[in-house]
Amino acid sequence: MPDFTASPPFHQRRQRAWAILSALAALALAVLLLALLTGSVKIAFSDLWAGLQGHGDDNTATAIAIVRDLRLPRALAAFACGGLLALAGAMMQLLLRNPLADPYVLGVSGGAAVGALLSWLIVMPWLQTPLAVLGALFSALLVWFGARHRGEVSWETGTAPRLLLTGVVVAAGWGALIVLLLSLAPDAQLRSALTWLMGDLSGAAMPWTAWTVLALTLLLIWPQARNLNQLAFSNVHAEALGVPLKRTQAWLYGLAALATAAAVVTAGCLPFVGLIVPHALRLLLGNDQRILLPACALGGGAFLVLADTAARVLVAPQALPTGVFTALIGVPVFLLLLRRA
Amino acid sequence: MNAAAPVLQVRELTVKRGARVLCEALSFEVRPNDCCVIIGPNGAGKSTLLLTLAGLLSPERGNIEWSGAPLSSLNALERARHRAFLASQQNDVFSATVFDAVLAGRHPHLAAWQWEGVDDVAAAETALTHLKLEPLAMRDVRTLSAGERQRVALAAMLAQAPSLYLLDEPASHLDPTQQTEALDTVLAHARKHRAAVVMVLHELHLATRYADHVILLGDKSTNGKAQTGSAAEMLTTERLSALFGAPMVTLEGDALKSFVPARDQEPLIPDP
Repeated sequence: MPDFTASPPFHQRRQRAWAILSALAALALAVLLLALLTGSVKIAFSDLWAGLQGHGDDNTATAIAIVRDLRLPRALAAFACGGLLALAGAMMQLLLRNPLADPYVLGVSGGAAVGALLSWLIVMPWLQTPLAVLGALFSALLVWFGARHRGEVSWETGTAPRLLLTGVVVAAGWGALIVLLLSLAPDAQLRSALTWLMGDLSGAAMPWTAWTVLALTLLLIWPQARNLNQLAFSNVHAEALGVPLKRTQAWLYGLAALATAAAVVTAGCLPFVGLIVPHALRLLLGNDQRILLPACALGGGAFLVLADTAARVLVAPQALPTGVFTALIGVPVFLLLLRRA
Repeated sequence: MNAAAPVLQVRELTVKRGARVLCEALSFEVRPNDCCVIIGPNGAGKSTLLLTLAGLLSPERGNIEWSGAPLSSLNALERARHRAFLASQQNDVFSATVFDAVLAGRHPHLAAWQWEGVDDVAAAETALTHLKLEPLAMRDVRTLSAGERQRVALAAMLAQAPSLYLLDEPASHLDPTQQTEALDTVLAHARKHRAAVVMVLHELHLATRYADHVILLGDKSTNGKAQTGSAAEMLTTERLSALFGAPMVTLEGDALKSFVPARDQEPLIPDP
C-alpha cells in the first residue's frame, strides 16, 4: 500500500494549489503584456517602458496612446469576459452535474442579445447596456421559475432534467426573436448586429462592470469550493455531508447567471469559452474546486486575451470577429475532449 | 449531545410521500452498538423512512432525536458529524480518485477554510485498508464496478466516523462474500466507536445475521402500520409471509437462517 501520508500529492495539496495559481497568474500577466505589445502597429517594450515613466519622444507618445486608449481596454475586457464565462461554465457544470454544460444553456445570452438588438432597432444605442442587462436577468428568472416543480427547482439531470430543458426551450425562443429583430433591422446596422451576436471586443471601453462582477463572483463562490466538491459527487452525498444544498444551488445559479450576463453585455455572445476552458482545466488540474474556480478565472481570461490578440493580428490590419476565432478553436478542441471523455 | 441517550430516538413518527402514508405513529429507539434492520416489499417507503431518519426529508409529524438532541436543533454540518448516510446508488459524472472519494467523508470535520490534514489522510487510509480498497486507491471512481463503488462509499462513511450509520441497501451489487465481509467491517467499526447502525436490507439471510431489532414496513394486512421488535420476534415465516404477501419458508443450517418464497405448487407459466 502506498503511504499517502508521506506522498506529496496529499501532504502538499495546499502548496500545489498555490503553485498552480501563481503560475497561471504569471501566465495571465504575460499574455496581457503580449496583447499590449502586438498589433498592426509594432510597439517595443522599451518604448512602452519609457513612455510609462513619462519621458520619450513623439513616437513613444503615439505608442502610449495606442496602448492606453485602444489595446489596454480591449485586453482587459477580453480578460474579464474570458474569466467570467469560464467561471460561469464551471458553476453551471457543477449545478447541472454535467461536465459539458455551457453558461448559455440558461438562455441568458439570448435574452441579452434581444435587449441589445431592440436598442438598435429603436435607434437608441445608449440603451444597449441597460436593455441587455434586463434581457439577461429576465431570461435567468424565467428559466428559474419555469423549472420549478411543486415549488422546488428540479436539478437532477438524467431522471428529470427540467432546468436544462427549460433553459434550452427559452434559449430557442430567444433565437427566434433574434432572427425576427435582425430581419426588421435596417441594413446599415445589420453588420454590427451580426458581429455583436458572435462576440465582439472591438468597441470595448474600460470594462469596469465586467471586472467588478468577476471579482465579486470569485469572492462569493471560492469560499464554498469544498462544498462544491461534495456537490460534484452527488446532491444526496453533499447534503448528507452537511452542505446546505438548496442555498448552495441558488448561489451557483445566481452567480453563474450574473457572470454570464456581465460577459455578454460587455462583449456579446462569445462562444465556447465557458464550455472548453473549465473542461480542459479539469482534465489538467483535477476537479478540486478550490483550485479549479480561480484557475478558471485566470485561465479563461488568458485564453480569451490570446484568442482576441490572434484575431487582431492574423490578417492585420483587418481584425477578425473574436467569437469566430474562439469558435474555430473551440469546435476541434471540444470534439477532441469529447473523444477523450 | 448526551452519550447515555439512545443514538436514535423516534417518537410518533408519521411519514408521507404525496398522499400516501408510509408509516404512522412509529416509535423506536436504537442504542449504541445496536443494529436495526428495515425490511419491506418494494415501494413500501423504506428509503423514504431512512432519508427521514437522516434528516434529509421532513416528517409529516413526530420527533426524531439523535443522542438526546432534537433534529431541529442541529444544522446541516452538525448533522453530518453525527450521522453518515449511504444512498442506494452512486452515480458519478465527474472524475475523482477512490482516495479522494473516501477523503470526502472528512468534509464535515473541517473548518471553513481548512484543508485536509495528516489526520484526515490517515483516517481515509485506514478506511481504505478496512474495506480492502488499497489496490484501487488511485483509480477513477467512474471506472469501478458497481460493487467496488459501493465499498468506496462504505469506506467514506468509516472515514466520516459518525455515531449513527444509515445504510440504504448496503449489500446491493456485492458478491456473497463481499456482502458479509463489508458488513462485518462496518459493524465492527461501528461497535468499536459505540455507534449504531440502521439499514434497509432485502437479503433476509443478512438480516438474521446482523439485526438486533427489525422494523417491518409496508404490511398490507396491518393497514401499513409498521411493526417493530427484536429480530427473533419479527423474523418469522408468519410475519414475513404476511409482509411480502406470499408464503415464505425457512432455510436453516450451520447456525445460519434465512427465508425464501415457497416453491409454487403449480408453475406460473405452464410447460408447453
